[in-house]
Amino acid sequence: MGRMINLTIDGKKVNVAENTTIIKAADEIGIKIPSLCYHEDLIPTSGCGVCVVEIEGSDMPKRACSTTVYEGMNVKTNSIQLRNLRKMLIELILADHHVDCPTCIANNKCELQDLAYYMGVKTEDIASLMKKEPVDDSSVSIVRDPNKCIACGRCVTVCNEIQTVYALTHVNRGFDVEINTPFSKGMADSICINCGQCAVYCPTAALTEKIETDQVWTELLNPAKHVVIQAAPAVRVTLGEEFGMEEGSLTVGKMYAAFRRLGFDAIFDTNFTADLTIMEEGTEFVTRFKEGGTLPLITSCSPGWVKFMETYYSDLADNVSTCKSPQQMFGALVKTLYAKEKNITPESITSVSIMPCTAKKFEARRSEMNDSGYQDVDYVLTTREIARMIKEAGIDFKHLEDEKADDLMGIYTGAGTIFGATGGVMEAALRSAYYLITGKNLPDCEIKAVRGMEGIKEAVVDVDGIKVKIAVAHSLGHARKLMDKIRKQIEETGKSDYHFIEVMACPGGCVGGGGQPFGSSLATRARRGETLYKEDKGLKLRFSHENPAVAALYEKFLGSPGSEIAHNLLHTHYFHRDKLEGKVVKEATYKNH
Amino acid sequence: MDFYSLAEYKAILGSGAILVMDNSVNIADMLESIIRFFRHESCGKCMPCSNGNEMLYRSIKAIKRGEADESELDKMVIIAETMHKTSFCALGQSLLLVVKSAIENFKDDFLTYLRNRKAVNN
Repeated sequence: MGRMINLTIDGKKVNVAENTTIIKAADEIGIKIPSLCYHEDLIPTSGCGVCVVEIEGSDMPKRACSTTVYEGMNVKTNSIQLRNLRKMLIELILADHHVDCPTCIANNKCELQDLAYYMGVKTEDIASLMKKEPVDDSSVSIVRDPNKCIACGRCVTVCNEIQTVYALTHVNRGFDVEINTPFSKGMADSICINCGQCAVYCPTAALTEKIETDQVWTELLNPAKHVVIQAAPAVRVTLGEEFGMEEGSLTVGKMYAAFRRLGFDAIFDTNFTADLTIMEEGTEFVTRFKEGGTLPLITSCSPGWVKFMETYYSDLADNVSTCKSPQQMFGALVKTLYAKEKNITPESITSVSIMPCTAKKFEARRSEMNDSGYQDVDYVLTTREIARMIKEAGIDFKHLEDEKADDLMGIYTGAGTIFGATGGVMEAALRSAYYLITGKNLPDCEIKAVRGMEGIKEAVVDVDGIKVKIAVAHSLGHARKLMDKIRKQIEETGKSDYHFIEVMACPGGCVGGGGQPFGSSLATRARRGETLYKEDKGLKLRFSHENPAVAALYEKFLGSPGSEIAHNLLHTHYFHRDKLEGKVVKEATYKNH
Repeated sequence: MDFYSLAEYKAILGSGAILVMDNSVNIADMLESIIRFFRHESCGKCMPCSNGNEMLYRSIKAIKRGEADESELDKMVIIAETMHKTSFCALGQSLLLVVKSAIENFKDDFLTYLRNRKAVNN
């Protein structure tokens, strides 16, 4: 901790560490300085100028986002001059922004709209500088609309600094500056790994998910279709936010009720296949650990991470678990086991998943994800998309009575639910791995060392005298650091001292996914994660191996974890991808040796 | 001639270059040329400069076509003032001097020019 600085903001005294910016100092005493390109989680780009404040002794206003405090500083955050400047800046931004608020995906959640509305800016008085450009909808996950882009640079910062993916960059100069992919090839032909963090941080709707709600409505309203839904762990703690409920509200019962009212024929839960993933992955880990297989084992639930690995670390593909993600395990089972149980043809089934994620849209469309003989998961909706459908249907989400999921694939344990938070998969896997090795349950099943928002979390877990070294990384920047370390260890000594690694592409894990409600921060994500841990604590079943529905599935259909049919339906393989366009070059691992 | 003595006349020395013009120069042409230069030099990092320059360029173009009135000139000064106070670097900050002094010192020339253009248009 450095020196402390005393300053005055709007007549209020505040004491902050040196090098604090004015905007952060103001935030500490509850003063919110209007800002647009600034986001508390990101290095300021200082682009828009909206956050200017007056500093005594300085004849020019200064940006609060990037000006640091000094002793005795006296700051004014509002004045006639500042209001006029901010209004003019918002007008200049709106002049080059496609204003279609009523139908815009970010309507009521747009930071530009908010500022214009609060300041009373009139759009009809503003001369347009717009040059209509084509929307880039080449990607199956992310749509980029340059007409709504205000070139604030947040997406570039998050893509390059936090995710280290480098799929977005500034192109051109001056007024022609825009955000694009390298060589402007379009999102589909870029190294974008579809994590959608750009969309979560975008203050407007210049970057959004590829909307699939119309297709899902068409399926729902078609009486010949049997539409099955699954919802990911992290959706139950964020859906409420879209309906004005407190951040981190657990809405699992209301969520099922809403799905039923929307007309889904079977309401299931991805948490069920999260438990199944643990059975498969836990077994895979124990087998590798006991039989001297490739270690560390690295998790494979996060499709953003998987594509990142295929692009930058495909030399480590053998270390990555062959398990499919819970979404894809579910998809493979719906059109096989479930179709058989219900005696319906797989062709008449539409499999829809609700995900906190934009990369899941890409994952569902990977060509190898068709082990049922069909595309295993037909449509993937984000939390934001399903919220819009619920609103369109006029469902009063907040006041819905809790309902239950349907049997067969709707029962889950606490281990399944914590998948949604960083460290959750590791914790759930260790709970079951411990059981698989020792035949007993962990005395204290809460592995606190892997919880929380620290970028890379490491621990050594004692499994009946055997020391298991684990690490958890969230955000791909941290994953990159960890993978570089592992790669170096393997290069230098032939092996790594880690045994088990969890990687989630998004900061905070799936609770911070690219499909989650707009306007979040790392602090919001932490709160959502805490709710998942609370749910886990309150559940009677907290070990995946105790899930009766999973046990029944093995008994009736799959045999045992890692069996031939389990291998065929629940496991996958990986590719090498080129570092320019992210395209498949060749196989990196093989499903059938 | 130095920075301080020129400042008294609300002029800047800049890089030391002096542009000499006689009465035959049209002030609207001069302003367009200078705005075009700044618009071209704007890097695009900060919005007040990039969008501000573009807006000023459209305004001076509209004036030159005779498709504007006096209020366009006032608007240009407000935009340039906003750029002056909120641009990140000296490029966006310094255009104000040109815009403001041209419009304030040669207002009549601009108005005459606008009247003539409109007459031609009609």
